[in-house]
Amino acid sequence: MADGDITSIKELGRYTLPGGGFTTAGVAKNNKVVAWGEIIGTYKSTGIDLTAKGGSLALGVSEIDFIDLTVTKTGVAGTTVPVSDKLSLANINATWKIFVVDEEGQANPAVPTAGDIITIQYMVMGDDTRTVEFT
Amino acid sequence: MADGDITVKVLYKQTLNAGRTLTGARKDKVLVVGEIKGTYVAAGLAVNKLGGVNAFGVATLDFLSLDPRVIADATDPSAEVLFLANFDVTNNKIFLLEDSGNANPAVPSDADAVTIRFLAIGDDAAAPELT
Repeated sequence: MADGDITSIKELGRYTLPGGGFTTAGVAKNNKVVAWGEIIGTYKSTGIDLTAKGGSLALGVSEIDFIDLTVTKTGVAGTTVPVSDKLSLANINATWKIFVVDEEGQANPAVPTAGDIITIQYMVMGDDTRTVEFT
Repeated sequence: MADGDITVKVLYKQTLNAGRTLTGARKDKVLVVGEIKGTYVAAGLAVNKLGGVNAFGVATLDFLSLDPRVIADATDPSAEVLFLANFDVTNNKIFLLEDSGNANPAVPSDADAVTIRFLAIGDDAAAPELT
């Protein structure tokens, strides 16, 4: 497994949200869902890449309306947890790369080293990958 | 549109089972997901101009999570350039950092186009409270 690859994605819960929603273009969607789980991957400066897992489909949605990423563990052994001035932050970009800072609070906050094992909890809301849209 | 002004699109709104206020009064709760677009200004994005937290579809805000997507058009988060957003609950302003992970994380420039997704939970702004 190369650096930047996803080791595992485990969906821990999924709930279909009753009632319809919309796309940003105003198109009605009936299949909104909230899903949450855990992503484990190896870090790379170009990001942990969800592309090979299908991008947003890896998280159980075909379109992401909202996503929250919480980094729980980092480090070469994947066991480092946040402490006083070494907090963690994660973002995902439009091409499904997850970037992490693991020393937020330091004068020179570091990014993880390539190969570090990163564990991230996610909560995502969006269009359900599994539901046919009857339009 | 002046710097700091925003537009808000609600993508999804779901009425939840009733909850409570901090003082224990029963309230109808709602969960709202949407998108904020605006032009940045150092004084913060002016949610106050759209009715404060009513812009998020809630009359009282129980919980808010902000997910910055784009700062300055095509700019995306990347290594050592992560985005972070906070909400000033007193003055109803959103503030952004665009270089989290750098030694000197920068705020966006004035007039930078920004896109932020939000998830808000609170008292429904649209529903009368039948008490």
